[in-house]
Amino acid sequence: MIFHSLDFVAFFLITCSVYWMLPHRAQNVFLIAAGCFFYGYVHPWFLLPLIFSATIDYVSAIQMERRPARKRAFLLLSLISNLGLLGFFKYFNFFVDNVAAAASALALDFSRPALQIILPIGISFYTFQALSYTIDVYRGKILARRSYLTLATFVTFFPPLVAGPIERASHLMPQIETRRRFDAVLARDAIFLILWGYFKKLVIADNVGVIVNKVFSIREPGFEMLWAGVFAFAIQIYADFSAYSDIARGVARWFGFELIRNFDHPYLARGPADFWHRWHISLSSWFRDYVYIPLGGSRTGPARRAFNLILTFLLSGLWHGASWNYVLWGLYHGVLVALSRAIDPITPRTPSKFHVAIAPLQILGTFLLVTFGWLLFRETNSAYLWQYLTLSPFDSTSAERQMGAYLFVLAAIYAVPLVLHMWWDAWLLPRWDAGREALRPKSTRRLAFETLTGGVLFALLLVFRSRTSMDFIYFQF
Amino acid sequence: MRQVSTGKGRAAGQIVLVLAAIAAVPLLWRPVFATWAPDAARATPSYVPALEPARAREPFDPVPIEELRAVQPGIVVIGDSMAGRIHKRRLEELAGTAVAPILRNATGSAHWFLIFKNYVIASGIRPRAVIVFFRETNLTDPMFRLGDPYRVNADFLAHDFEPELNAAVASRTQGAWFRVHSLVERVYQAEQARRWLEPELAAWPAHVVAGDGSDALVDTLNTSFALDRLRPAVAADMASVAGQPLDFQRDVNRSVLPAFLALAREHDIKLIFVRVLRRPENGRAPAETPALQQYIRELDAYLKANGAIFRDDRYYPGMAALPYDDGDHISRVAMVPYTELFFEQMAAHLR
Repeated sequence: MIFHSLDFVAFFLITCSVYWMLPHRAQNVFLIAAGCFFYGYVHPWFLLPLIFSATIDYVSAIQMERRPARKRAFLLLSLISNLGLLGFFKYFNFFVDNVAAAASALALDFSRPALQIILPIGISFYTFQALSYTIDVYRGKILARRSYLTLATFVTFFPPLVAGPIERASHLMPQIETRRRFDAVLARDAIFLILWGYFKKLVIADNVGVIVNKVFSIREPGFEMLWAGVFAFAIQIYADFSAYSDIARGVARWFGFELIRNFDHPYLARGPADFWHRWHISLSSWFRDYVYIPLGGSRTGPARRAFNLILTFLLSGLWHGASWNYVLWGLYHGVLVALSRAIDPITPRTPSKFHVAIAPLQILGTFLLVTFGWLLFRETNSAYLWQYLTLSPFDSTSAERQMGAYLFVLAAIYAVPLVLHMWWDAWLLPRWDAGREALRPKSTRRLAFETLTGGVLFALLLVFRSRTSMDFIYFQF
Repeated sequence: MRQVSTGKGRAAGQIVLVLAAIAAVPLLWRPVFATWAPDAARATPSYVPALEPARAREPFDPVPIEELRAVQPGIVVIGDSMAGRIHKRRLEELAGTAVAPILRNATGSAHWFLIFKNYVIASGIRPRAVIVFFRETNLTDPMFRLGDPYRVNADFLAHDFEPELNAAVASRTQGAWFRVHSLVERVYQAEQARRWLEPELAAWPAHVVAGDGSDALVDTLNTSFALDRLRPAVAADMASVAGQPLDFQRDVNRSVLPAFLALAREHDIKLIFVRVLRRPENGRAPAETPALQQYIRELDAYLKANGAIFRDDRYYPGMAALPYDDGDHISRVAMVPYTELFFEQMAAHLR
């Protein structure tokens, strides 16, 4: 089931109403049933790998505690099962295609197995979420849960199930195990979060997505059109993905849960490393904790640290999709972050007036570097990618320049609400709240302002929602 | 304790107020539309009231009726760009009769039915055959390209009221969700606002970039995204039905196909439905799902049972070997060979 459907609206209203009439344990059972319905709505068989993953992790974690001597073996069981599942569904065809290509290059006879595999949506998200549980149990950070109900609720909890945030067991499980109370203030704030999420998805991402799809569907876009399309994609992917996270967080609040904040104005980042502290935070922190740090992290020498970073980003790129362009995108970001880390020690710790003054340039520079990376991310065809990378602005006609400028301005118009939101959330709000009591209820004036803004968003959503409904981009991962 | 519950009650009350206020804000548009929106004055009762009560539409275009009467064609070809694979002059030579292609890009079965009813039948001509080209499930999907931005294409073909089309659309739009959608539309008049504001939003950047040359810029842009500029796979995927649930028996009675066939029988006109071959892969017809194969078998049986002729290019020799240009369009050089193969294989129905 997708968030931007009337089916989901009905599903949400019914489940939320029933949920708050139930006692705690029944709430968890109900959440599992709701999660299974939500996830298996179109393809019920999608539930099989989900249940398999939950069951293996449940058994593995308990056995790790019961048989400490074989702890490592059970961790391996969990890793192999979850990653095997992911590998089969997501990377089997990629692997076979590459073996076939290599065999062909070596003039070897290779009959390609004909296997049509449908990728269960969100499999990368829930396998990583489930893995965080067994790894944390292995490390002794959390206790294995004896209740299958708790683990099943953790894995099937529907708001983040399909596109994150990738929750940690240490964060979500205590919330599952604790008696929850309906918090009307949180629920009220969640309305704005959900509305903002829908606005970002249906108005910004889907409209800008039309520009992106057009540019990336033609054989020979000129230099300007291509980069206007890439700029539009930078807006689309942020609006689209952060929309899902916002809706998921808002919906979860209505069920009494607080999810991880997945985005923190990534396009305000002042460097590549800063970008990854703000973009898809739940995934980048997952890779930091479960890949980068176990590899040695920053406690090693500069060369080894750079290697660790690049390897981590390569794997992160591969996580996104079974295609070389994602690997290339991961490599690109790995190199960027490694370089920025190498430069980092020579920059002064205390921000000087100079550093404050150059902040806009740093933000712009980071945005341009990240946007270049989005070309690698968006273009899955290597022949086209190479063609695009060799495009020159000097070969463009004036008509091509005008078309590029037009698409750029059109995409920029749709980005205006994002910029206003950044200004509001990252600059104005902290100043507004400064010096006030953190827990003080919102003033009536501010509530009225937010409500009016919500109403305007709703009006704009009715009028400017895209005629082309698109799936959330991260569903494919 | 009482304070806590009072606070909770207050917050719950605020939720209701916030929701009500958010829902009320867009209503402020209504007086604005009533005063300034140009569509409001032009709107007339819709020819498909199942879709919308009123619509500011383009007028019916009667010119093709006169053209048909003047030409008196023996063969009429109806369809979208897929029907462009027929080479008119070559078919005229082969069949020994005039051929009248009535092709409208970006159209679907709703439009083709209106062409048949309001042009072919209305002209009073007696062609040997009317050939309709389609892809996959087009014939049982009256909603295909009936929404914006293609909707305007139907305006030119429709009279003030189109009962058969309306009935087909109504059968698709009786669900609870459509009623919710209609209710929201009636309350907020969002579609009217869209039609008013969307062109402004698209035109403004063009004006910023090109000034007085903004119309030319938009034309150039549209040409840049034309079908012949698309990557082959993208164009082919545009009409793909992979992954859609298919149920012929359910859909056929919620389409214009029964009315199409009844009208042909009533006027004793031979209808030939041609399913075009989608872009071949490595010289072979592309793979298709068992569900689609089953759907096509049922469509075949239904058409034959109702006196029409069905041809599936997929199963005719030589079709997959023809060169394709972009998407599902065969190349220009293949139009004559296609027409010759088509005539040779369908001669019994076209002579």
